[in-house]
Amino acid sequence: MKDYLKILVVLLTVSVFTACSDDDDALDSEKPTIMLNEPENGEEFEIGGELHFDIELADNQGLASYKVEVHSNSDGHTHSVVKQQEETPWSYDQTFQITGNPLTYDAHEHIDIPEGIAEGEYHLGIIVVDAAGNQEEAFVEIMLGHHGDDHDDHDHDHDH
Amino acid sequence: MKFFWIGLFLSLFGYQSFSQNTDKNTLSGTVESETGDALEGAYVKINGKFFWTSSNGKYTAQLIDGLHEVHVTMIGYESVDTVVKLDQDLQLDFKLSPSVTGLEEVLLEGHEHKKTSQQVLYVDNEFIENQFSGSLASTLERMPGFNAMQIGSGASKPIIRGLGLNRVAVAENGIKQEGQQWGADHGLEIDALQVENLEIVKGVGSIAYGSDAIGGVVRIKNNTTPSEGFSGNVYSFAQSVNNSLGSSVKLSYSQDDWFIKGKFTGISFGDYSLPAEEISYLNFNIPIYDEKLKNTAGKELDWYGQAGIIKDNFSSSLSISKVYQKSGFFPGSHGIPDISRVQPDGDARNIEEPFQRVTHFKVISNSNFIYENGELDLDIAYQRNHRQEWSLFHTHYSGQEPPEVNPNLELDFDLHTYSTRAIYHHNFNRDHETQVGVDLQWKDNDISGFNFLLPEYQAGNYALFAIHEYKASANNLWSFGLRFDYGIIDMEGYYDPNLYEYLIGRNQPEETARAYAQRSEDLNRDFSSLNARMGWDHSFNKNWSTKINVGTAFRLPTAIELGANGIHHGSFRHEQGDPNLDPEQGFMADLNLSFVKDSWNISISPYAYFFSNYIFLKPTGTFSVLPHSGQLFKYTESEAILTGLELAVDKEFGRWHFSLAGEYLYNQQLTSDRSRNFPLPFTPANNLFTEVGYKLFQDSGVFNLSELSINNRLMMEQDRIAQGEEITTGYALWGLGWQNRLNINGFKASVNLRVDNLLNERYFNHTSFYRRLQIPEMGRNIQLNIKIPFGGS
Repeated sequence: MKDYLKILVVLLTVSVFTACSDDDDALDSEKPTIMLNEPENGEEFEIGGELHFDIELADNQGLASYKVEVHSNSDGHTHSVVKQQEETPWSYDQTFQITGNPLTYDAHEHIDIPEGIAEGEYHLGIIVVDAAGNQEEAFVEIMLGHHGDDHDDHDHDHDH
Repeated sequence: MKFFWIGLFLSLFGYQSFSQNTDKNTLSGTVESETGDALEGAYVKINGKFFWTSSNGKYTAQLIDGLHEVHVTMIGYESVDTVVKLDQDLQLDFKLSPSVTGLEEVLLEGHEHKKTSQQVLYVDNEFIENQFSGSLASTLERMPGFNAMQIGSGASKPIIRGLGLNRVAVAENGIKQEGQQWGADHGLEIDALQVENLEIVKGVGSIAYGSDAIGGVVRIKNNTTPSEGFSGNVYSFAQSVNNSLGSSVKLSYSQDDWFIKGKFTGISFGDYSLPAEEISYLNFNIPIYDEKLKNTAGKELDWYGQAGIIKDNFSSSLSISKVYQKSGFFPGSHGIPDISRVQPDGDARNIEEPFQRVTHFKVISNSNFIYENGELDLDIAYQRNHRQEWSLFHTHYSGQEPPEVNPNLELDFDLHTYSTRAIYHHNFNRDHETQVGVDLQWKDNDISGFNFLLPEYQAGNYALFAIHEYKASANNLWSFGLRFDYGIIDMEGYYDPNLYEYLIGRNQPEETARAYAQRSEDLNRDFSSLNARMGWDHSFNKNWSTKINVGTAFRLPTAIELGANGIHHGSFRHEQGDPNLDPEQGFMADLNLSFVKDSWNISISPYAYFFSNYIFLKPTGTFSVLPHSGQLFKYTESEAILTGLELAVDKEFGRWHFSLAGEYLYNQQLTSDRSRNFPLPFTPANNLFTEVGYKLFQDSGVFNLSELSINNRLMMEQDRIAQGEEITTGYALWGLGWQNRLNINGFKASVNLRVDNLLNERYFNHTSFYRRLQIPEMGRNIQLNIKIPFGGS
């Protein structure tokens, strides 16, 4: 019995130690990266005009797809909720496939901002996924409004 | 890493040879009753090491020179405490007088520290009070193989061997605690300060506790008999890191064959301090004002009442308790980052939205009937876990209006659990004991709130089990267990018209919109699982012993794994269940080797699990159509292995005490594609806890058991991460402690002073809920706690 025990001890110990020398190199758990050139945080856009973005995506093994979304930042903003009673806030999302799993990708797109949407503060989000399923996200705050309007009730005291 | 452990082994052997050079003497003697009868099996504790007297009442201990505290106890007799100075061989005899409450103690404590083939760590109330750090699991973090998943400063839940959430069972007086364990942002609703005794069973506890007891069981025993008459204590503490103040009062009264107990705890804590001026979350730099994390304040209010009766052949207790916790979430990273919401509001103790509130109400009845050759335990319980998450009404669907009642109630889970457990123990003779048990449980979960995550459901679990223990000899104990479970779940479908409108408005085809809007389907499933375990406890000689266990473990898929469908605001991703999941099935083997000699106490425990279908959230690589979400995360099953090694060393050198607890973990999925064999989520990094203590004032009448200690918690970098996790860098935390039992002219008090994170290190905890949100852990914390006992003996 003691011999069996010794063998079991040795086996378990060996299996634990050999487990250290793993072949993790094959695993890709590195997230892709997002470099947001445009828009900048706090940049203003004209309702009825165009929203353009310019991003550089990169990954160690291969990019797969990205998603762009825009939504109103009304959460926890009492003043903007009041403002948006008349018009509905805009929300947009679009997924773009990146063919061929390249290591870098420059995305430059123009999005039409529809007329008749609520003005105010919005979030633009970029979410990118690589071939292994690693995900990275980046968000900026943008302003959508009507130029020439007097922004008398527009109280943006955010520090950016 | 490999060299680290090898080095550790070498240094241990180094210590051992060193210890053999010190002078040793023999302390021996006999333990007798007042009438001069030799007492067999009396418990002689010398500096934390245990000896038992032989059949002629004799005990022997090899000890190094110096002062030794000797504590002699025997059930049915008053215990004796003394201190001896040893510089030559010494004979010390004890005479014990019979205790009045002796017989009751036999009934209740007969099962404690009973020999078992499972690996068990014993913790008492005193340890918890000394080490208390806001919540139960975080208080136990220094135990080898045990980690805490922390949620802010006032809540945590246990991780044993890297298995947490629904893979660890917590039971109080035999009844499994049922809350919403699946959520990483949900704490364990147990009042740590009210725990009387606690056992951490490492390894599979499936036979006795069923589903979930894969990594281990935290077994709380809250039905010890109080001492005769009126007794109690007041425990109060203050913490600097979150300006926490708390107090716990325990009262008990016992007379003849009955007793009552009452316990009350109140804790209030403010926003906690962290050594950071800003945090970086999703491309946003979120400022932290005054190094305090806004809205992480909270409070807790708990009460516990128990009444019991003890007869010769029957004992019974009824316990009613309620735990109430309310704590805020940091608003800067609740959902999309928002700088405007983290501006200081001038109040570090207020709890604003978003916050969570949970009430856990529990009634447990425990009865024990004693027969000639057996015992019957009957446990009946009802518990209600009511969890609410409040957040100012917000929606991503233009059509959704705030509800008329409680417009800011985001999620509400109301879980009612009814449990019954009956176990009959039969002693065939001194060597064979069989337990046969029935375990029944019924759960009913209601939901409300403006957000949807978890469907309503009812679930039942019915089980039969048997455990046989065979004491082949004084050195061999075999144990065999078998359990059959049958479970059902009935989930209500949930259709979300707002989502349908939203998707139609986003020009999705009607079919897609309808499919997504059906957030969960009506589902009726039943499961069965058969599990077995075998264990062997063996002593080679008086120094070396081993425990070996092999067995299977299982877990029924939870409602969230079968039917979740929505954006989890805490994790901020679209999580989807899979209605076709099978019960998670695992195979486990573990071994414990322990060496005990001359206050050396060394134990090594390697273990390995293989799961045929480990269930976890896996990113699909496909974007979800829900607004605000990245890729879809789906509950998926995969083969997986999970292995590790725990090491614990304790040693005393005169007035010095040295202890070390280390843990190494390794796990991964096993798929057909090697490049997909990612590690499993929420795995603690390899870690090592070291403590050195020194006993002060050994001859002082005022300061007793006074010990000054310094400790270090070393966490390695966690670079073996699951998909969606981030690498967490390693860190070393230093701590100081000073514990005392004061006795000033008969006025007794325990006073403990502690400093955690002495150097105010900025670090992330890989298993903390806030890790994903890039929020560092708490900064330096100074804690004082004082306990004043009164009444009783």
